[in-house]
Amino acid sequence: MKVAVRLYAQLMDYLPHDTMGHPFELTLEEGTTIGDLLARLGIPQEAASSSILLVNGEHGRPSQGLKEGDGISILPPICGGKL
Amino acid sequence: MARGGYAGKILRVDLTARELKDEVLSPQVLRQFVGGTGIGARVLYDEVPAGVEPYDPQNRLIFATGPLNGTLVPGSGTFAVVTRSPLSGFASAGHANGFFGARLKHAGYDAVVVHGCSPDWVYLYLNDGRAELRDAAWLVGKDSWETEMALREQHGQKGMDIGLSVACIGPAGENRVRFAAICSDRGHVASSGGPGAVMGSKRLKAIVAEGSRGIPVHERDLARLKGLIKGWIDSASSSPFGRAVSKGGTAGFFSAAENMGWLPVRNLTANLFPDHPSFDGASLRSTFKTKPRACHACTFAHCLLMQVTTGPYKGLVVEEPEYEGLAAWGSNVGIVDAGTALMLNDLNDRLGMDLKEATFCASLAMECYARGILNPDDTDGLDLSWGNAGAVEELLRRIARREGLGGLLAEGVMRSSQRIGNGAQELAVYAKKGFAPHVHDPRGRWSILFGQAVSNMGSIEGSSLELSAAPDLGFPEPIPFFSKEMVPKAQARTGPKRQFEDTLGICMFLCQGSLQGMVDTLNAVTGYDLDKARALEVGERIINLLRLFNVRHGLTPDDDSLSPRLREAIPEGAHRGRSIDSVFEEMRRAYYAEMGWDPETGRPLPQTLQRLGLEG
Repeated sequence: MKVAVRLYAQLMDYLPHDTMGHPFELTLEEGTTIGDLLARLGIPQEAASSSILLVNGEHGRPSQGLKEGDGISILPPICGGKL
Repeated sequence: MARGGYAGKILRVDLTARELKDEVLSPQVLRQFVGGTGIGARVLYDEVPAGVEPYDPQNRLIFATGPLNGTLVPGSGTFAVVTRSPLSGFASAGHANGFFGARLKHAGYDAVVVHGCSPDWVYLYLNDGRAELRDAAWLVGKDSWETEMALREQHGQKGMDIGLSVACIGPAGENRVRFAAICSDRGHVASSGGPGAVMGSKRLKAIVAEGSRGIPVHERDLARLKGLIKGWIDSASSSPFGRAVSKGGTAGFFSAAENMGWLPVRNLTANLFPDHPSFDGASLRSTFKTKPRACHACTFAHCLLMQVTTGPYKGLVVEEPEYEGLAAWGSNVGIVDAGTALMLNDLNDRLGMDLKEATFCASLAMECYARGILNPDDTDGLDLSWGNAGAVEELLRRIARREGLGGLLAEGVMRSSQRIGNGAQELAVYAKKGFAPHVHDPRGRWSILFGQAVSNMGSIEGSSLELSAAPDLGFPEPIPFFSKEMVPKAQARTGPKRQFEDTLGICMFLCQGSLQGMVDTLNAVTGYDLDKARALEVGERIINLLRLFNVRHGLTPDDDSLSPRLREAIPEGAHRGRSIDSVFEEMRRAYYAEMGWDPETGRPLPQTLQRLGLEG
């Protein structure tokens, strides 16, 4: 299955530079979870556990399975209200 | 009584009589309100009765620090400015980072309370416990950076940031643009609610603060105090949010904002901005030259000087804009060159205006122009087509001079839309009290949208929890997007914490540690014995006192609301069709109830005031 991944802020370091700000398409095996995806991207556990995980604009969990066409966004938490 | 943290006196400035007087704030007021917005709210409530209009000499302009300002706690250079706002007629509280808050303390003052109106332009000079008013006629007409540099030179300091600080107004403040800002330390701005216009109405051009006074500290065990401060530093710089902002600035979330549908595009007529990658912090900091420029005691250093290296403004050196500055002068006015947005952000700071109000005034005029509501005769020939940078530049200058259409827009978004008429009111972006919102398409982030509507102070009072958890406040996970139940609850619970943090005198980006850590540090510095619940009560007390002030000045539930544009559905993008309109009143009632206010009137209930010690 194909999914589109977007990483933001310092997490961009885990994607090829030329994808900055644009979705990065990945082909994954059926049954892949968000947690599997984080591992495949090489995002360390500490960063992964504190990141905000969104699937198609809704909050997701590491154990959540992905499906064809999903859009996954991973970003550090955004605190305060002015940002 | 506090045994540390405070300079020990405030300065009263009567500009009409040209009298300066030291005063000691009561220990009870300090304990109840701690500092910053808290002290400002107390003074404003006690001294600005109904009938004192924003430009009345009796209106107060309060510069207030907190007990941690000027210490080694990171980011302790901020200050608050509180006044009755010329934009709304209600309270406003703005904050600026930099050094000025620390230097006000080092000069010997916890706060400066200004009233009256000087017959001639003056500036206030503070140095080691002494204060004097000096002639400022020679500074009139200078922009905020020119004013600061002229005063630095006058007082024997060259370069930036060293030795003394200046908080001043630019031409917009002199001309009472209703959203004029107070600018300090070249690029740090207290702007919400237009305090610069009040400063201008009093003919006070600037305050210069310098001195070498230390901050008394209660804790005798210096190793413990150092441990607390180190813990604060570590928690701020190791937090994921801290690391993100340190690496890419707040601009590091620009692409995220676009992708997630909360970037303002052309006065919220659109929601997609394909040029977003070149505005993102990662791109800006790799494309343009940078030089770190940290604020007082900041170990975080997300502020930079930035030199534009491409495009029409190649060579320009400015303060790196925050995310909001890039959104204001990029997507919201249709400009696609990041260097041009840097130029406009710098210009707006130099003229001394609140960028929230300035961008939504400019974008209102541009949308009116696109729709034929304004024509070239109305604009004195300016072609206000989306993306016309030269026209936006000239428009900002005309606003600051109150010239032609600029004079109309200088009244702010709400008033100018009413005066333009012909449907402009339907296009204008503002919260009903009269403030433009933070520079988002907040329709895509309800906590920002709702927080802006119910805030008492121009900016927002609480925090957004869709993209961060708040375990201290009972939110172990982020709240769902677009939740009519959770957004009011989160606003009610985050407001007291955010307002407590703002009493301390610390930059909000450095307040990433636990509430307990902040309370422990405050107690160690001051000798207070607050616990977490009482710290939150301080913030809640401030919100309630500001609400009482606003009720006194005519606040009704309709003022806790949004302009028609902000209640419209989002036209495209990630949240196409989403609107808060049908659930807004229900959310507002829930928020009022959560705050201990009358659900129908929004007024604090007697038992709430009694609990907070605000009865009578």
